[in-house]
Amino acid sequence: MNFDFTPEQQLLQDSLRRLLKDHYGAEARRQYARSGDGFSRDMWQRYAEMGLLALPFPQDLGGLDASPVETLVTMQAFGRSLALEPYLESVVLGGGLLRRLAPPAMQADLIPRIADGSLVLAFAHEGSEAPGSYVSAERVDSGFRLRGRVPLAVAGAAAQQLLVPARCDGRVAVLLVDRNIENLSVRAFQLHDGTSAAELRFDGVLVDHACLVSEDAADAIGRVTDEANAAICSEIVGAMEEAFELTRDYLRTRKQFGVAIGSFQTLRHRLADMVVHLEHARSMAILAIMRCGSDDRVERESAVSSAKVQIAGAARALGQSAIQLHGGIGMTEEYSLGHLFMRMESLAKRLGGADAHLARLAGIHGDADTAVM
Amino acid sequence: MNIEFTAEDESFRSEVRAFLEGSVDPRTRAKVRAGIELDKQEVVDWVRVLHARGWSVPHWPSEWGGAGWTLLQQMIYRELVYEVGVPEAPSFGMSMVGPVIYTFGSQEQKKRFLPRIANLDDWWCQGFSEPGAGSDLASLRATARRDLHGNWVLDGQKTWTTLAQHADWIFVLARTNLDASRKQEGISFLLVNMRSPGITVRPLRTIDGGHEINEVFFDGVVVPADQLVGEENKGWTYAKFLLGNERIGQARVGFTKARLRRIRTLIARLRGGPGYAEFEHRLLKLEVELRALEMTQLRMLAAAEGQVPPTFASVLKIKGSETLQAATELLYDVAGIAALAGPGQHGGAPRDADEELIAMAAASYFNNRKVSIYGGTNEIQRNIIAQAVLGS
Repeated sequence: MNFDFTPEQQLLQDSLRRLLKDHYGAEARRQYARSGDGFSRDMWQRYAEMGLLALPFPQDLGGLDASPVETLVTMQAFGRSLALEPYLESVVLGGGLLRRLAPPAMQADLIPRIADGSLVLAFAHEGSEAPGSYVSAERVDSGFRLRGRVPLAVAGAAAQQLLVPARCDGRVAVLLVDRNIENLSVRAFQLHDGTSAAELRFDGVLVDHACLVSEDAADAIGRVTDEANAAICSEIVGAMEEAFELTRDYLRTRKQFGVAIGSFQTLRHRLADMVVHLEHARSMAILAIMRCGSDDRVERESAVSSAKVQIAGAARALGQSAIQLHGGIGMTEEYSLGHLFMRMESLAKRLGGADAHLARLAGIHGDADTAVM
Repeated sequence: MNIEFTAEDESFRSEVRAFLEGSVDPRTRAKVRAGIELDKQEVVDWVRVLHARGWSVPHWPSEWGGAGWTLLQQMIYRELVYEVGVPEAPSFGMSMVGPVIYTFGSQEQKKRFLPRIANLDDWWCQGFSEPGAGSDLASLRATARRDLHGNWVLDGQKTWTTLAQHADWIFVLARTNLDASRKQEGISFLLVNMRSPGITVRPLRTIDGGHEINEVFFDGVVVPADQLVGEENKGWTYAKFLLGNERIGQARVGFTKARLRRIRTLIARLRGGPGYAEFEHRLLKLEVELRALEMTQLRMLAAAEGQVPPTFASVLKIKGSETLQAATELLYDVAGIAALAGPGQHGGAPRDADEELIAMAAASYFNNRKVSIYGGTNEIQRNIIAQAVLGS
């Protein structure tokens, strides 16, 4: 058994962290958030040049055939730096859905463009409602007519194409819809952590047959959502690490009553508790990323949901403690800690919050014979 | 023992409720309910309504406008403020510097400042904390030295100054004796006009996006000699009085109670859905906590003057802040992804009270991380309790 990175994975981590450290300071991040896309196209191209956007895809589609660990490394680095780019949405969710569902010709067309940075995708679904709950697809001669309102599609405004789950003939279909198509209104807005998102209204949007990615996508959406949740777990861990380090450094340097506040036992214990939360979170992020691709449904869903529940709780406790240990300064918008905390909370809610995942675990393990272990 | 409110208390409650409901501007009330920041004028207008009724400073000596209410009545009033949804009067004038002035100030200072506080002619803010003096307030570095005319010249920086952007006056703790053997013994309490030359106010945005705190810089600010409160170098005594004086309101029971009622309505809408049972249990536990908080607060308020154990204020502050934070956390979770939109990003006005509550869920959760930090951190409060019970 071995939990170490390979030298290549370590190199990936070092170079991505360096890239983000150089280009993702607080002021730069504010500017990226204020831009039309809500993220940096320049950074997106840099990620493409590094091969990040190609990581999970097969070589014959322009990919790098990387393992899940590369995704863990990448997402942790993004979490640390509060990156705004839609890696999760475009590469993990979008690319993942196309790989499982799209006909070969569609994959050959789109995957290389995701990998080289020229195509940004968004998934027109969020939260714990079942996919297909928001949009209906009615068959018409030319293809499909879409109706419905999707309250939250992360990266929905900046994406060129949307992958839209819709109920059709009693099943969940997925359609590829151009973001600028007629009768689709897109209201761009920001999440409380600065992430760019959109509310989508489909008022009888007409798409042709070629836009159908799959007419029976429920299982595949479930699988890709598991992979995305595992990626989210890693991103949260990255933010937790940075929040911990800021707090550790603050306790060393901040003086009150003539001494560094890190000398007060109660604060030392709280910092130690943060370490405990962080280690468990790291462990569960590894479990999730290594099992999220498993074909054994119980094993896969149990690992991913356990990780989400554990990490949501750990991040909340660590984040709240970090703010508390910083005192007033932790509350200010100027300082990055509050942003890290808001990012952790926002990520924990996405694709099913802790409550939804606990409910899923209850469904899997409600029987006394099948404990979570 | 008798733990019931008297008939007088209940008729007081009805009278106050009727007055508040009948007097508040409906637009102001709607904003308070939606958690929308009020304009300065809206708060001033409301306090003037209270003042006309004789209720703007009910806890003051009657000589200066007090209404002669018991502590229990003051608590009843406070709860109704949140239940009905009227603006909270700013506390810095009415509950902080006002009591300092009528307790330690000169007759001239009382006549000059107290009526203007009671009618909110002057809006006050607090110049205590500094970047290097948070929990260790006594290590503050702002200085005031005498000039040739006997006036004070104030230099330094205060931070975490709530609503300084509205303020007309600021009460400041500054060092007036750099050679004092104990740092507490060299501090004075000064009253400073915010329009004095040399004052700069810089907004500090908080993580929820709001602007309620500021930094205030003093650069050679002249403070007339008659704006020193009490004796030179005795400011720390007055500060301790001020900080210990706020017996009602620290626990924010009424606020949390009103919030939990609204959360209950929201959770009821989820009945039958996944996660409902867990949210219902969390809410029930919080309602139990609130009950305990109410009882402890009543025990404190009903205790005779001078007979309140020294631990009570800290107990209430700790539990009050933790219960409030837990309520905001519950709301954020119950609201689900609808709580993810940033401030002002929800798209269209809320259509009902539940949507209104959801729209404020995130900002309320993140903003209220402050309540375990301000007013003396919960760590300091625990030290106070431990010291009181252990004797060292």
